[in-house]
Amino acid sequence: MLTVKYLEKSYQNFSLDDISFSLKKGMITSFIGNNGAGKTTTLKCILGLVPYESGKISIDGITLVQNERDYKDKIGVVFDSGCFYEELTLEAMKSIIAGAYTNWDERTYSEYLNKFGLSRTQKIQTLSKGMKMKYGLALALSHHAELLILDEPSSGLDPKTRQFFCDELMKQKQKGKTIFFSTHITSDIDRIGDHIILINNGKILRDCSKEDFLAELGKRHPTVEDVMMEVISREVQ
Amino acid sequence: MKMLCLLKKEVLLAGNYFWFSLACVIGILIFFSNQETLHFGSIYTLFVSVSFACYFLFSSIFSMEDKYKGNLYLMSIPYRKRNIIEAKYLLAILVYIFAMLCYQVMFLIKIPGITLVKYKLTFSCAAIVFFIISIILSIFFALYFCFSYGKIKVALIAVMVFIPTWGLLGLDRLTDLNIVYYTPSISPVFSLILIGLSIIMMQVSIGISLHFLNRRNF
Repeated sequence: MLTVKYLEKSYQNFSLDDISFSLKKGMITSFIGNNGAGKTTTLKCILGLVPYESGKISIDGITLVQNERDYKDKIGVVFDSGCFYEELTLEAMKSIIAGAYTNWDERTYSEYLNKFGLSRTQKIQTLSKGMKMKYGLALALSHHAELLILDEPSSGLDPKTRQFFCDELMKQKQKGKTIFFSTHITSDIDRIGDHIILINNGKILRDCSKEDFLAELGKRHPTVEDVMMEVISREVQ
Repeated sequence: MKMLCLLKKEVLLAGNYFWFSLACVIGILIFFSNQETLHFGSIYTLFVSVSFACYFLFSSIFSMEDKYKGNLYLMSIPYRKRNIIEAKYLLAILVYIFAMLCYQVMFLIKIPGITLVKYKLTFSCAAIVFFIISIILSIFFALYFCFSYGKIKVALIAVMVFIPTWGLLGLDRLTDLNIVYYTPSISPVFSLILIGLSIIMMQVSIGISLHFLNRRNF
């Protein structure tokens, strides 16, 4: 599905160092790491939001440079802060977004709005954080994207909404979608993650199945957070 | 279709300022044509109306784009960056065409005792205004994509509002240039060349804006 090879991106005080991984089709891959580890920068490189020095990113063999439209048509994206023009209504924002996609499905969009309890005439700025996340999810799921990329989607959400979010991602996985989401809330991964990529200080430390990741600590019933902290502390030493 | 969606986005972001900008065009044309002691030329009148309208329109769009991270979303969906940039230039051209049409229609409307616009707008005058507006917008759009609205807003209001009014009127009083009252006439061929140059300038500016946008870290 998505392949990232030898990605390098430098800022003044931080750099992504030789990031390589690939996502398996139909799986939920969690991209974990502490704040400032490089998760969002990597996602932004994948989405073409920041230029990078070297590396190759492709989806089913198509790179952003080769065919920006086909590449982005395959992706459904949900940002942490929504990233909407908040003074617009849901309908107005949708009319901007929908025009970009080749396969926009208005019926699916309406179904998700009803399911999530969203009103078309409501202004985005009146939505709670959880409702904004649901709206973002509705937009991302309404053009039959094969790959869902979510940047810290569950941060700042109450437990009930996070549960809803996890259930929704599981449903999408069952439909065959590939899901890639960054988070530092590791309890979500305990619930739904299949594969884990751990990043720290711009370097990939682990890229393995959740079972292999949890087995690393060698104790009974470890959590993703336990292993993550252990691996990072070993790396620091 | 995508360009229409992007144009719609600009209009939606401008909100009420879009209608205000259009009203501004009509208001300024009438106001500048109805000064008892000052007889502003058609070039100056049309230029000020387009300049003010573009200022109100684009300053509201730019500030909305800066305030929210909507551009981040827009860049990550299948809109080409070039199209996102081109939509702004196209909107500016549409505002200019609207102002020009308003001027022509208002000139043709004859109501006894009321002057809507005083002097006829010739093809050469329209071409000169298009050329001047193209220079200003080509510079400012490129600067906007390089920096952000916060960094260019003082320059924007100075160049699009204060210089065309106080600046040019002051210059006119201090010198004998007769800038604001003069209506030059140039040949149709030279007018077409000016329009062609304006389009080339905007194309170059779009390229520069794209270069800046590609280098920008969102």
